[in-house]
Amino acid sequence: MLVAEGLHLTYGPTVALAGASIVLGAGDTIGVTGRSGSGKSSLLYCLAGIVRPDAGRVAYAGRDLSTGDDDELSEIRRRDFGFVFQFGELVPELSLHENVSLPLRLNRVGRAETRERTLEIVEMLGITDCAHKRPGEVSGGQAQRAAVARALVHRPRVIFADEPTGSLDTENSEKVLGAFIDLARARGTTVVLVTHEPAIAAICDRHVDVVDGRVRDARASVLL
Amino acid sequence: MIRLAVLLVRGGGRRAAFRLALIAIGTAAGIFALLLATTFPALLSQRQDRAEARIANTGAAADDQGWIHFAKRFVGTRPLEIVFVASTPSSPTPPGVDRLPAPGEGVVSPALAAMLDAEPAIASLMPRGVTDLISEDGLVAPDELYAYVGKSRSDLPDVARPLGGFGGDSNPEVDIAGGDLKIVVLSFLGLVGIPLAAFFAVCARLSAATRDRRVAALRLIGLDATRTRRVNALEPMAAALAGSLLGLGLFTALNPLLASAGLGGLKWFPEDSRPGAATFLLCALVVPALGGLLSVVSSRNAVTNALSVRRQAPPRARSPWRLLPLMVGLGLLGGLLVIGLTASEVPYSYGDWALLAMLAGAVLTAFGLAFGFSVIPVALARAIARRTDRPWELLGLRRLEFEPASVTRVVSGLVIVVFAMGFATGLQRDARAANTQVGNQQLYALDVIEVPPEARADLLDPDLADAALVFIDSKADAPALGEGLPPPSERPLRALWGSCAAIETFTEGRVDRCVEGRAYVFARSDASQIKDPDATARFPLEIRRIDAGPSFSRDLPDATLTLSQRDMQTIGDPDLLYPVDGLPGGTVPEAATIQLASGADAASVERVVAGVAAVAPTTTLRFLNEDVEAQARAAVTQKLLHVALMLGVFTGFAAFVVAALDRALERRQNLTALSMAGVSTRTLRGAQMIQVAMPLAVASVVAIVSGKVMEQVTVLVGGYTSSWDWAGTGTAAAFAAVALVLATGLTGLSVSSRIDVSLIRRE
Repeated sequence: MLVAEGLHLTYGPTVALAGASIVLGAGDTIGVTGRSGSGKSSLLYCLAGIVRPDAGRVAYAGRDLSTGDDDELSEIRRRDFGFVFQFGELVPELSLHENVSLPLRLNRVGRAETRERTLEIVEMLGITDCAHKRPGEVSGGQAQRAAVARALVHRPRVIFADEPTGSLDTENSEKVLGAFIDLARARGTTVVLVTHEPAIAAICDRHVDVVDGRVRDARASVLL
Repeated sequence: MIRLAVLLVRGGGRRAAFRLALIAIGTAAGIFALLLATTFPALLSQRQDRAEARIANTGAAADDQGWIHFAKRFVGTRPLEIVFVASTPSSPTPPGVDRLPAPGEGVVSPALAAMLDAEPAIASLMPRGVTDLISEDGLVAPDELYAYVGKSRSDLPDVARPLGGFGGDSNPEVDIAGGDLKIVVLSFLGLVGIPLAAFFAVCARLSAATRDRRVAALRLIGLDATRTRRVNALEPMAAALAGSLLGLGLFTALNPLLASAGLGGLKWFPEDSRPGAATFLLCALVVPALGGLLSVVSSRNAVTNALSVRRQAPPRARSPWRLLPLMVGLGLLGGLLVIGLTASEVPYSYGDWALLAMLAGAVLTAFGLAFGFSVIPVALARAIARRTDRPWELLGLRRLEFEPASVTRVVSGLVIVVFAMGFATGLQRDARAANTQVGNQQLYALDVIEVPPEARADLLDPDLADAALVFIDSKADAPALGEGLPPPSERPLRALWGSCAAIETFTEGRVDRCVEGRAYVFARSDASQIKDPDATARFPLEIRRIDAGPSFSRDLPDATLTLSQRDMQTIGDPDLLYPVDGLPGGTVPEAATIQLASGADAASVERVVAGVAAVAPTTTLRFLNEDVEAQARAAVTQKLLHVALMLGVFTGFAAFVVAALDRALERRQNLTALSMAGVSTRTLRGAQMIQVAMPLAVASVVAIVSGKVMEQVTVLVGGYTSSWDWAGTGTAAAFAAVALVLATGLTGLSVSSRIDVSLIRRE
């Protein structure tokens, strides 16, 4: 479903990716680990069509993300992808409920369905009681669960998560991650999870390592 | 501490540099506007001093310092002042002149010399050749038309005065009337001061969230509150200092250009507007201190409660009671408006109660706009956001509701500026109406005693003006003329020699039953009963100016000519009318005053002015109804008010753009996250733009309505009109529309379609 071949990416003199390749199937959950500066976030951004690689190709469902225009890529990200960031990046002036419903509104889902699906996912992630509050008024764990809900609410085919539990304590981290992976698996959603903790990556079906801008299978120690 | 502050700025990278540059540029623009605003009162005072320094004082004839006679002409509406002098070797010299001109010589201002070269026809107004130029010291302004013309004593009229010296303290009204000066000064302070205050407040709060996080971080690692405040304040202080020096330098550099290009129709000498030492000190010390103070105040929450920076309490809903002063103020003004517009006739005054109600309405409205205006856009934003399905509306309006301060503060400032402008324009229109009576005719008067005897008859030449009337006052006080006629009084009787046609011209046709060649006693149409003068009361009138000319007698006419009070005032309140061919001695006596009438258009006025100057070059022509000088002063006042408004709006607009830009920068991280999640650039632009467009549109409507109401109420209460006019509303609406489009467009442009992933926070 999502294929990256020979990705090269540099930021000035810094080489972020040096021929990275990876193939993701539908429903795969893949943990991406690597040292700081190894290029794992760059890989994630290239896979999501946010950053265009200097060389190489990313294809999603047969469409080349390396050459698409901004509107086309935005639409793919809006309809088919979901994102979870390390610090949630919720819109501070919207309530958790409004934040979660935002992808549905952007995709012009009807009002009643938006409400129904939002309430459903909010309940699944256990934040119903605080859904009317704004991000600044809730705990970090609740905000991050709202961020996960926002990434899942429109039923994307791929979710990109960049250190989704990096700002949480162990207990909250486990709760958020558990809910996230369980929901994704239940819906057959592909997950690309970037983390620096091998234990978190181990929860995923596959675990890859990014080393010097290239991807290798962490379990088999084979370059992909 | 300074090293730490420098380290923090350097660590802030491009963004910190941009913030510093923005503060510096903002402060520079503000200082420039402030200097311009504060320059005007000082500039006008300097010009007053220059005018006073050349005032000719009357001396004793025995001192033999020469004789002087002052006359004023007009080139269009530009006054040309001519000082006729019969000098002696011991004559004093005015400033800017090395030597008073001898008979046949003229010393003129450079502007007049240039005009005489370019348009020789003007020479008829200034009947001598140019031998020298008046230097800067002797002029009020570089474009002033001023001349000293040499004459022999015998060529000067009898009313010429012996010259005592130059310089006095008679406080001449040079550019604008004394009352208007206060309006201009207050308007400048209000119109420019309010947006400037908003501007400084915006600058001090630039990147507030980032800086609050920094303050919190410093506090959490153990830096005490005082030192944290100082570190935080050093950055805006340094930027404000750089900005104020930049503004000062810019103003000093542009001052000569501004002076020669002029502002509001005024041109001046650059040294009159050069900033003084006090201004330098103000810019170098007070402005940076103010920047530091604002920084300390705005960061107080982060300093005292560092953890509050991470958690944000929901914004408290603004109470609708905040709108009460605005509602009461507008209610008062609306009431006055209704009373004024429904009045059956124009009253001269509504009395003190109306003035008090107007002032109370103005104060309450201004206070209400400052204190409560933000309630309106915030409530509107909340209401729309609650109902909308459009993501861009939801994002933008919730943002406005969540953090309205930075935008609404500036918008409130702009509203107050426009409101204050409405008030100032109303006051100025009142002042103008008090000085002039608008009509289709221009009336003039001149004293025949100033006219050479051989030229007096020419003043009645039908080619000179549309109509001419000759007035002579009686020697004795007015007797009783009959029932319904002017009562006896301690004033002289005023006799008028003229034709019925001339009176018709003056009164624009409102004369009935006037038979040419017949004498009349004038009666007012508002008298309850009018009878022809009693034939038995007929007695000879001895008509003579008290201090000049021969006496002569006329019989009291036995018929009445009835005119309205207004028309009587127009023709100079005469008591008697005699046919013009019956002038005593067959000529115009020197005791007489001549009144002329012409159309009020510039060409007609110029024709009369030039004609009189050709016949009687040393005679001063007075403008009776339409005082050209008062009009010129009123025009200057009006233009200065417009300049103040423009400066205010420019400053306010700049503050608005800076605030919007800063908000956009602060939001980049959040917007990046939304972009990554697939929110299109169009949606993000829409969200940013509606945050600006909505409050600005509401503000524009409130500003135009409240400003126009204030202006109209001021004019109505002044008693000069009883009807609504839309003057200026179209311009204001167009200006607001342009500002709206510009501000919204600029905000839209600040949203980039490029996704900068480095903005996403990661640790």
